[in-house]
Amino acid sequence: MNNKCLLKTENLTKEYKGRKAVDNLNITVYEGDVYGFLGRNGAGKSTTIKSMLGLIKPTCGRVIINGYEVSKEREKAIEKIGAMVEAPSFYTGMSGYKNLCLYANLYGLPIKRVDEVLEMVGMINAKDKKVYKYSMGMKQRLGIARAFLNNPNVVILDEPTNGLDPQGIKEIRNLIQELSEKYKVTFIISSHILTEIQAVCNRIGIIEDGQLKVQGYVEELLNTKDEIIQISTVEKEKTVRLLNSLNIELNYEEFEGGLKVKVKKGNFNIINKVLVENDVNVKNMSCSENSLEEYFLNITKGEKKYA
Amino acid sequence: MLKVLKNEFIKMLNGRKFYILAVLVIFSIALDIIMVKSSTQFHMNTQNFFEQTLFGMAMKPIVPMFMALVVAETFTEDYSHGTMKFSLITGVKRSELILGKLVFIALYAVIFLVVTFVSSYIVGTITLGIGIKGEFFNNLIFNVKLCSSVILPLISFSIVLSFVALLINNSGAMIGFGIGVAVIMAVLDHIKNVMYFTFSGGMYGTDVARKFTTHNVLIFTLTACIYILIFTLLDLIVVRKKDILL
Repeated sequence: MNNKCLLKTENLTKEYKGRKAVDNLNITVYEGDVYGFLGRNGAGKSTTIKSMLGLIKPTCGRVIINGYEVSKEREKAIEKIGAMVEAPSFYTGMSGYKNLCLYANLYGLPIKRVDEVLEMVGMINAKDKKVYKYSMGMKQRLGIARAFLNNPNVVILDEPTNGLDPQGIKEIRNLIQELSEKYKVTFIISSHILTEIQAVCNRIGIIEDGQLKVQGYVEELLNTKDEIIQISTVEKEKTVRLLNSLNIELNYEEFEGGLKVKVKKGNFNIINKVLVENDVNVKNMSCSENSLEEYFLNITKGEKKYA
Repeated sequence: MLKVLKNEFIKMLNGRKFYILAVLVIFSIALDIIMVKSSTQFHMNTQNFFEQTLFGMAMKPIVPMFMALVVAETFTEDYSHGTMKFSLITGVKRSELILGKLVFIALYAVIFLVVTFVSSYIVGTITLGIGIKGEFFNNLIFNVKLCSSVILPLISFSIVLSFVALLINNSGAMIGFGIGVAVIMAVLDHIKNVMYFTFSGGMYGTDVARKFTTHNVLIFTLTACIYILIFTLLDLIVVRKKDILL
């Protein structure tokens, strides 16, 4: 695991008319991370990303990228950053190729780089089409191509799957995974589509009302070594007694129709056997892993179950 | 700044707006010819027709109105459509971006005047004839000077609009505002001596411009330059403090 920090925010705060859109935010992104930045709509994700890019000025706090402070040395700080912020906006009357040529010109890059990035995202065949003829998925791809123009070491994608159908979402997810592996680029992906984040990211930060609720490695946060066993039974007390008699580490929570038990993987059969041998009336028993969705909902509701 | 300027020209040449507006300018000149021919002003030829065009339909109101459209597209639409932020992400400084756009606006104004001048001469020559041959060259110089006298006030008008364009996030509202200002200033600048102090005074000062006294040329130039300088600085201050939210 490489711990070189490429991007961090220190006590980042942004106020609009007395309301804190971002409140003392401290996030850290390490080299090689695919960092999922999660939060509901209006939680402060886009404000944070725009602060990172120097598009909005923080009320206080600072952002440091590649060792440079954005508010003091913006040009150097964002030199190796690629980004797609909110919607993939383009000059729609121009072709995808010409749009990228405009940005290549601003970066001072040779025009052949435009073909390279279009190739990377699989858009080379549609490069001469006007952008208004592009589907949403094509625009997202073009947005990712634009983010890669300057050979960045960090790419920030704000809601890259917004407005896409399931097939489009899958394609973008595969593209991000492929680019991350092939070009060793660090990604920061903001989204509220949690299954996508779980599939792609190794680290996450969850933001709620502008505050960072939790940050860490997905594996550790979700504790993927555990599983949740749902037991539907009316004999809750007897089941609890039997579970406690077992010599295994577990946590449980009651619900209307039974119990939810969090336990290390591999204990399902032991629990099943004990319940059968003791003649517990079990209607149903199922097993599932911790999902990011459940974790996110628990965190953002402030009810961290099973902790 | 030059990279921004280059991009603005690429966008201009790849879009339809410039061509449509240029055709409309030419069409308005053709319309002017029809009006001249149908009136009793048969003494008119290509040499005095340009003056009629410039201070007639071109300045009241077509070119200023078109400049309002251009300013709205260059500043307001670029911001509200979310494309401006991607230019800034490339590391271009905000001041560079704005100065590049302002220079583009200024050159656009010059291009409009050149289109007006050239098409007026061509249409005028074809339909009205060149007039007195011996005076053609002198009149040409006079008309070039007349056209030049309008450049700075037109740029000043456009840069004042650009300041508002940076504050308004709705291009429709900006276009409406720009056209409204063009109409109001056309009326306001007819009040005695007011034209000497407004950003658009030289655009409408037909009688004054014709005389070309040092006093008139200097005062229009100076007033326009002061407005250009002040509003360029205001643009830079606004864009420096502005949060790019869209």
